[in-house]
Amino acid sequence: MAELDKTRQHTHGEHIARVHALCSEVQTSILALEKNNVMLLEQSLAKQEALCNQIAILKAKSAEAKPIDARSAAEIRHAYMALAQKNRTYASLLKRSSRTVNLLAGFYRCYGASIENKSLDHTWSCEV
Amino acid sequence: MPGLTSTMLMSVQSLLADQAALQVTSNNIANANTPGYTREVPDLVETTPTVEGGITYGAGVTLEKVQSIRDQLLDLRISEENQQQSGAQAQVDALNQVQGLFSDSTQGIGADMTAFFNSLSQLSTNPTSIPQRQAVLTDAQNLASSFNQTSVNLSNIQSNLNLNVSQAVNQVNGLTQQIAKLNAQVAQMQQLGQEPGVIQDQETQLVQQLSQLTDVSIIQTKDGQTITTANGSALVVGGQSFALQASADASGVEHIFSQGEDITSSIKNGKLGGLLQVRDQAIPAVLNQLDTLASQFAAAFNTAHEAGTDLNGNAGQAFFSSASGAGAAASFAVVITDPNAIAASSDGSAGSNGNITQLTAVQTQELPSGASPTDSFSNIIFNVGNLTQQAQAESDAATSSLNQLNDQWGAVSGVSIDEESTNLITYQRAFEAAARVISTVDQLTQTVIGMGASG
Repeated sequence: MAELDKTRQHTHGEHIARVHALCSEVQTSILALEKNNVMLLEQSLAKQEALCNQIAILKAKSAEAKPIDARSAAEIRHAYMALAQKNRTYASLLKRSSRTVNLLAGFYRCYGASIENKSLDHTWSCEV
Repeated sequence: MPGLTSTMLMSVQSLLADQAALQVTSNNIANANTPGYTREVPDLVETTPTVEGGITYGAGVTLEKVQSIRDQLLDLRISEENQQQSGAQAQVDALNQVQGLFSDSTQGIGADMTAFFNSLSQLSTNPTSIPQRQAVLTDAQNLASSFNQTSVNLSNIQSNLNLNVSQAVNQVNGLTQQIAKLNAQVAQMQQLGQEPGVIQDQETQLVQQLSQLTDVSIIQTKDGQTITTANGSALVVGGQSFALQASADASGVEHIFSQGEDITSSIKNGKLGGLLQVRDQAIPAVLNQLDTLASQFAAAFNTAHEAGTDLNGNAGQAFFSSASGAGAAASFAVVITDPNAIAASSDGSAGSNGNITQLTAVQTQELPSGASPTDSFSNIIFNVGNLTQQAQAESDAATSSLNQLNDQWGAVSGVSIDEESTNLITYQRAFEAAARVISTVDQLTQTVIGMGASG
């Protein structure tokens, strides 16, 4: 019984640690976007994917290891709430970054279109 | 064929151009840490060459203009994010005050409701006890006070936000006046062929401050910036500004007018948008939930109480009074003042506690709203917390986005000390070379004069 409790506590502890790590990784992605650091963003996304897979496994293990004690349940709930809040910020930042990228793309499209239109009126050598 | 004099003049022109370029560079270095300063670059162009005897001779260099390096797309995005960040932050600040009314688990409506039902449970052990009955009444009074106080506090927060709205409108008007003046200066300088970079920097700073207050659209025209509100009402057109007016309605709620039109509901961003969002939507929604809880709780408890009999053998009367609909929480009160009037008995006998079970059941009984009183109160706390967290996430994201855009702005328009140091050396070398040319031409001139003297 004591051994089962120990295993259960270990699983919950690992579960919470992974959720915290994912939360921290989402924050890293936010910082990467802030600094326009694509490499850091890609690394962080890869880590997030790995952590999500680990959490899915641990979540299944936790479900098997029921009943969960109130303290662990509260800790897991708090960890997920912090992650949800961080995700809200991340989602909103992605939406904002997309707006900047769309505006830039629109600007370049507009610029490109004006060159294309010109090319109808001028010869290739004129354009060069 | 160009002579020594034209070479000398060309070198002087070159000296002047390099000197001006050095001045632009030193001004950039001086303003490296000035907020909002846009770096300038000297626009050096080749002077129109001269043609003599079929040969084209270069005629030196001219400083055509000093140009500020701006990216209007980035300025636009920074303005948008300023509007959203300030709006979200204003909401967070106001909602934190609202949340403060519900966050204490040891006092307030939630705690007082629990205490009231605990007192009733204790009364069931000794239904004839006057001190126990008095304790029930005291806890009922505390619950009523909590409903009243929470409602008053919510209204006070709403009034403070109302005051902030009129202050923000005054700030908007002050800024639009300043921007209009700068717009006129920019147009005048452009007409005279002067570079209005410094004035445009000041204008951009003011526009960003304006964006923090309200949502605006900015359009570049030949007369400078045309700034309108979200619904298209003009704030600044050329050198003219159009003031917003804050005017209170019959209930004291400030409305914002632009040229006679009420634009209150169209302001969604900036500090004003945030304040209006909480004043006109978030707080009324919380007050509505609180009023619903107060009136439905009073009705449910009164129904249970009227089914019992009091200590004097009389049928139970209404325990609580509360207006229905708006103002229910503010008017929530305990009707009974006599401890004997608590209808604990279900069969009319003094020692009976049968009706207390019905009374305590109200705590978990579903109200017409679809939730028990305890759950209804928890829902209010959840809704306020959720709104606050949502606004906080928006504010954090907008701050991150602003950092990202400001970094990009710095890369385009900011001063790079390394780049300016390189420019400094480049122009210094060019200046020295031009001076050497002058010195050489001077020596050549002396030689020519000497040739004349010896001849």
